[in-house]
Amino acid sequence: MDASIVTGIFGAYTPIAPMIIMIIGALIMPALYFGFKKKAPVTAVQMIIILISLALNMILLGTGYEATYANLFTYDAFSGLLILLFQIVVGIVAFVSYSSIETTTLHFGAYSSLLLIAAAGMMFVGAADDLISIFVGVETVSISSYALVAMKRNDPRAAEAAVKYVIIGGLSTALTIYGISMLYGVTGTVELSELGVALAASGYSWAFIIALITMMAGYGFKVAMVPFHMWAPDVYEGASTPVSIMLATGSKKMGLAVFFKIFLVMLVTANVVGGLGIVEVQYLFAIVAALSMTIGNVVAISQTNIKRMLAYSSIAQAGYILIAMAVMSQYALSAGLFHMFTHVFMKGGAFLVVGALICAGLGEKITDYNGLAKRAPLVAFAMLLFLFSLAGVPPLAGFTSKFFLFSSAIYSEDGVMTQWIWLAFVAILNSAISLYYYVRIIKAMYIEKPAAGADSKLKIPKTFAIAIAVCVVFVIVLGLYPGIIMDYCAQGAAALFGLI
Amino acid sequence: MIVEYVWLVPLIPILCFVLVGFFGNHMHQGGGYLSIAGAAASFIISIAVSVEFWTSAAYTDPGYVTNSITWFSLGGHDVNLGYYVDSLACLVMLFASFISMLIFIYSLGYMGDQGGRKRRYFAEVSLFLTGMLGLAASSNMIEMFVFWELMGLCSYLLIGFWSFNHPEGDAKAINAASAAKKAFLVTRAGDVCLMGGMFVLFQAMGSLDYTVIFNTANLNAANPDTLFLASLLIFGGAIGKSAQFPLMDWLPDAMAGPTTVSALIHAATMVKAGVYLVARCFPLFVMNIDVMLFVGVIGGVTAFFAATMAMNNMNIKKVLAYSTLSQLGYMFLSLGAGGYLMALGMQSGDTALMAAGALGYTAGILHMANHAFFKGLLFLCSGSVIHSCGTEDMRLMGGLGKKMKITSITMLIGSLSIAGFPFFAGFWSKDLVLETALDAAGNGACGWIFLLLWFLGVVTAFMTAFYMFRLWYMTFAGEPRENAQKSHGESPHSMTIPLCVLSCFAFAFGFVLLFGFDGLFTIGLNADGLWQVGGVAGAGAVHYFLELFTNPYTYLTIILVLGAIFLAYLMYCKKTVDPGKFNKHGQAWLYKACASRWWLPEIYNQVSWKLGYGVAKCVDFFDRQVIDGTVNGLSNAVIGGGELARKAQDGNAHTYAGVVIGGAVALFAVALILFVVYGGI
Amino acid sequence: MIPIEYFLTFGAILFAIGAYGVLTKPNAIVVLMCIELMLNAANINFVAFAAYTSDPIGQVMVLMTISVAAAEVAVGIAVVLNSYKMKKTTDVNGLTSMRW
Repeated sequence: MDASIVTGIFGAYTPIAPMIIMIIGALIMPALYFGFKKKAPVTAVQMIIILISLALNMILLGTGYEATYANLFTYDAFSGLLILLFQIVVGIVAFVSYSSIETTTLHFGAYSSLLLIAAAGMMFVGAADDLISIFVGVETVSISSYALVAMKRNDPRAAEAAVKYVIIGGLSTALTIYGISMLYGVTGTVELSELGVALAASGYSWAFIIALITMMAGYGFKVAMVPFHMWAPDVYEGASTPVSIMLATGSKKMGLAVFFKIFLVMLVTANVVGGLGIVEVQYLFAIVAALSMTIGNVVAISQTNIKRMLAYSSIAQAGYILIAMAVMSQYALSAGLFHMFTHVFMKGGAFLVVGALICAGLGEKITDYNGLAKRAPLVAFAMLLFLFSLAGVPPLAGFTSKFFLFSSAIYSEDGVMTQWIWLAFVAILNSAISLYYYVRIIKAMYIEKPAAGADSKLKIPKTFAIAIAVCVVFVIVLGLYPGIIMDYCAQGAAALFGLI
Repeated sequence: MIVEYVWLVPLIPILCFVLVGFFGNHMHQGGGYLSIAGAAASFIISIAVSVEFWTSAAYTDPGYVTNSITWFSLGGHDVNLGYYVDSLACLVMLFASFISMLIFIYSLGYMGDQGGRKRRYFAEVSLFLTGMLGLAASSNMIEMFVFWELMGLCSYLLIGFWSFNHPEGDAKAINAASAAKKAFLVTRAGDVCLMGGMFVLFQAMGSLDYTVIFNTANLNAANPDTLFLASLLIFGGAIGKSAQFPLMDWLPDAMAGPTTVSALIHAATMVKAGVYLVARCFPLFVMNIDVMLFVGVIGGVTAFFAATMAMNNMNIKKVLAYSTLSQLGYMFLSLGAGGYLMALGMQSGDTALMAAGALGYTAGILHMANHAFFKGLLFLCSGSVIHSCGTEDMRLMGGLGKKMKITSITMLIGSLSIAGFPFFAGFWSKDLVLETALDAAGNGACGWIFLLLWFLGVVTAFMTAFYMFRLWYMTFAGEPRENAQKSHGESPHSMTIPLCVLSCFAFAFGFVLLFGFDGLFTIGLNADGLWQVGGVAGAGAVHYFLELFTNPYTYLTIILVLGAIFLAYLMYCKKTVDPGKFNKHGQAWLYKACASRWWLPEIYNQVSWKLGYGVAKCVDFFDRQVIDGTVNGLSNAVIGGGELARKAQDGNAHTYAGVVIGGAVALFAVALILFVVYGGI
Repeated sequence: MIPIEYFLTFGAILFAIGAYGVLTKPNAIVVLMCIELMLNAANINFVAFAAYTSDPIGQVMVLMTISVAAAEVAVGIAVVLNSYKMKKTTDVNGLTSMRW
C-alpha cells in the first residue's frame, strides 16, 4: 500500500488530512445529537470518524509519507507518531464517554464536538512547524478543555475546577505568548527549523532567558510540571473521569511534544551549528524534572482521593519524561516518546478503572476501594496491573519504558556519559518511593475488608470494560514486546533529529 | 538437542499458573495435581537438559550453550531474549524444580483444609517457581531481572497469603499483610540497587548479555571504576534478595506465610536468587578485589549474627529462618573468600591461588544446593510438627518423637546435615567454606579480615549445631507439653513421603563432591582465557578426603559440632525431663562426666543465655534503633515533606497563580545562575 | 524613531500590572480582564519587533493572539457564569472546596 490512496483524495492537504476528518466530525456532532437526542448514534459516528482519521494516519505513517502544508504543518515520522498517540487517547475517551454517568446528557453533542476539536488541536500541535501554529493549536486544546471540564453533570466541584483551570490556563497563555514575543524578538523568526540557527548567531541574551523561562512556564502548565502543577490535582478531581484521562494522557503529552519541537530542536541545532553551549538549559530541565518526580511522588503519598493521587503520580511521570529534555539525545527522545505511549495505557487504564467504578456507584476515596478484589475481581486485577506498571514492575510496559528512559540518562552512543547519572538515580529512587502509594491502593483492594453493607458485586459498563481490556493488553504487550511501538519511536526521534 | 528446549522449563510452571488460576476451582485439590505435574515436567526436562549438556562437547568448550532472539532494540544495541545453559544454571534448575515438586506434593496435605483458597495457593507457587527457573535459564541481565521481580511479586502474594483471613484471627492477618509489605519493600531496596547496577554495566559494556559482559577481554577493556560501581550495586541487589546484613530484617517476618511457602522461599527459590546472582557475576566481581572482600565480610558477619539470634528464639520457624540467614552468610563468605583468592591469583599470576579460589566457588554453590535440601527438609518437618500441634512455640511442644516417628527421624537427619555432622551433606560444603576462608586468611593484605571471618565461621558452626539440636530436643524429646499432648500424631503420607525423599538428599548430596562431580561446579579461565563454570575433571574422592582429613581444623570443627550437640542434649534433654527410659543411660553417663548436673543450667544461663542473649539483644537493638531508625527517619521525612507540600495546595486559584509566577521567577533566578556559571552570558 | 526599549518596557510594565491583578483581585471576571492585559503586553512586543524588523509575521501573530484571547474570554466568562449558577459566587477565594 502506498500513500497515493490518501494523497489522491486530499491532494495538498494530505499532511493535515487526519485533522480535517476530526474537524468535519466536530461539525456534525451537535447536529446529530440535535436530530437523535440520544448518545448512541453520536458516539457511533464519533468512533467512525476517529477510526477513519486513525486509518489515514496509519497509512501515512506506515508508508513513511513526508510533506509540508503551507509552511505551517509538516507530516513526518515524528508528527505521525504524535498524531497516533492523540488519536488513541481521544478514541479511548470518546468510547467510554458514551456510558459514563459523569458526562453531560443535555449537551452531549457539544461535548463530543469539543472532544474532537481538542483532539484536532493536539494533532495540529503534533504536526506544527512554526510558533504560530503551535500557539494556536495549544490554545484550541486549552479552550475546548476548559469547557469540557466545566461540562460535568451536576457537580459544583467541576464548576470550581473549571474556574481554576481557566484562570491558571489564561495566565499560562499570557506567559507563553509573552515568551514567544521575546523569542521572536531575539531570533526574528517563528519557523521552528530556523530558530536554532538564529539563536546560534545571536547567542544567549537576557531576552532569550526571559523567553525560555516564560515559555517553559506556559507550556509547563500543560505538562503539569513542578512548579506549574498546582492546578492539576484539583482539575483532575473536579472534571469527569473521561476528561481527566484526556488531560492526563493527551494534553500533557502535547505540552511535552511542544518542548521537544521548540526547545530540543532549537538548542541542539544551535549546539551543532553554532557550537553554542547548551548545558545550562539542560541543567534547568534536569532540575525541573527532578523536582517534578520528587514532589509528585512525595505528595501523592499523603493523598486520600484516588483521582488526586493519580494526578500527582502523573506529575511525577511527566518528570520522568522530562529526563529526555535534560539529556537531549536522540536515544533519550525515543525513550521519552515510548514512555508517552506506555503512560497512555497505564495511567489511562488506571483512570478508566476509577471512572468505571464511579459508574458502578463507588466513591473516589481510597478507602472506598477496600475489598475491591472480592467485589470486582477482574477490575481489581486490571488496576493492580496498571499500578504495578506505573511503579515500574517488570515485565509490564511501565518497566520497559522506564528502563529505556532511565538508561538514556546514563547511556550514550558516544561512550561514557556520567553527567546525568544523578538524574537517573533520582528517578530510580523516585520509582521506589512511588511503589509505596501504589501498594497502598493494592492493599486496600486485596487485603482490607469492604465496609459493612458494601460487599455486593459491582457491575461496570461494557464500554469501560472493553477499554480497560484494551489497556491491559497493551500494558502487557508493550512490556514484553516493546518493539512494536519502540521502532516507530526511534523513527520519530530520528525524524526530529533529522531536522538538525 | 534437548538443550534447545530449555525454555520449556520456566514455561511449563507459568502455564500451570494460568490454568490453575483460571480453572483451579474445577480441578481436584484446587489444581494441586496440575502444579505438581508441572513442576515434575520441569524437573524431568531439567534432568534431560543437564545430562545432555554435561555429556556434550559444548560442556568442555566453551562451557555453555546459549541462543537468543532479539527482544527489542535499545539505542542501537539489541536486548535479547534467550537461554543460557551452563553448570550453574543446570544446578539451580535441578534443585529448584525438584524441591519445589516435593514441596507442592507436601502442600496437598498441608494446605488440605484450605478449600477454595488452594486454587490461589497453587497458582501462585507455580508462578514463583517460574520466577526461579526463568532466572536460572536467562541469557542476559534484563531478562533475569524480569524473573527476579516476578519472584518479588510472588513472595509478596504468598507471604501475605493469610492476610485475607488468618486461621488464627485478625491480628495474625494484619501481621501477615505487614510482613508481606515489608518483604516486598525491603527487597525492592535491593532491586533499586540492582537496576542501577545494570544501567551502569550497560553503559560500560553496551550490552547485558552474559556472553558479552563476562567476556574477559570486554571486562579488561572497561573502565575499572565503572565496573567497581556496577559490582557494588549488583551485590546490593543480592543483599536485598538474600536478606543479608543490613537488609536481613524481612526474612524472619516472612514466616507469617504458610510454612510451605517458607520452605519454598528458603530452600528452592527467592533467597537463593541472591547467591545465584553473585555466583553468576563472579567474573565481574573478581575484577576488583575490594568487592570480593566486601562480599566476604557481609557474608561472615551475617552468618555470625544470624546464628546468635537463632540461639534464644522459641518459635520453631524463626529459628529456622535465622539459620537460613546464617547459612546464606556462609555461601557469601565462601564466594567472597574464593573471589578474593582468585583476584589475588590473577594479579600475581599464581595458579595455585586461583585453584584455591575456584574451590571457594565450588564450596559456595555446593553449599547452596546442600542447603536447599536440608533447609527444605527442616521447614517441611517443622510444618509437619505445626500441622500436628497447631502451634509454632517450642515451649508448648516436646516428646513428639514418639508420636511422629518419621518427622522426628527426618528432622534429625536434616539437623545433622545443617550442623555439619561428618559425612552428612552439610559437612562437606561447610568445611570447604571454612577452609577457603582460612586459605584467604593467609594471603594478601587483607588476610587478617578473613582470619576474623574464619573465626566467626567456626563459632557459627558451633552455634548452628547447638541451636539445631536445641530445637530438635525441645520438639521431639522429653515430656509432651501443652500442645504436644493434643497433637494428632503423624502427618498424612503426602507430607511424610517428601520428607523421606528429601532426607536422603540431605544426607547424601554431599557425596557428589567425592564422585568427581565437583568438576562441574568449579570456575576458572579456560584455554581461551574466558571464564567457564565447570568443564574440568573433578579432583575426586581421594583429594577431598586427604584435603579435609589431613587438615587439623576439620577436626576442630567436628569436635565443636559434637560438643555443641552434646551441650544441647545436656541442656534440653536432661534439664526438663524426669528420668525415663530414653534418658537413663544419658543421665548416668553425665553423672560421671560432670561433677554436678546443676551447674550445667548455670553455664547455660551464664554462657549461652546471658551472653548469647546479650549479643542477640545488641544486634537486635542495632537493627531496630539504627537501621530501622534510619529507615523510619527517612520515610518520616518523605511523608512529612509530602504533608508540607500538600498544605501548600490550599485550593485557592490566587495561590496557584502565585506559585506559577513565583516559580517562573525562581526558575529565572536558577537559569541566571546556571548561565553565569557556565559562561552562557 | 522611538527606541525599541521603550516599547518593551511599556510591554513589561503592562505585563507586570496584569500579573499583579491576577494575583490579587478576588473577582474571577476581573482576573480574566487582567489576563487580557498580559496578553496585550505580548501584543505590544510583537508589533514593536515587527515594526523594527519590517517583518509581517509579528503582526500576523498579533491578529492570532487577539482572536485566541477573544475565544478564551468567551469560554472563561461562560465558565465563571456556570460557577456562579452552582455556587453563587464569583470570588476566587470562595472556590476552595478542593484542596490538599
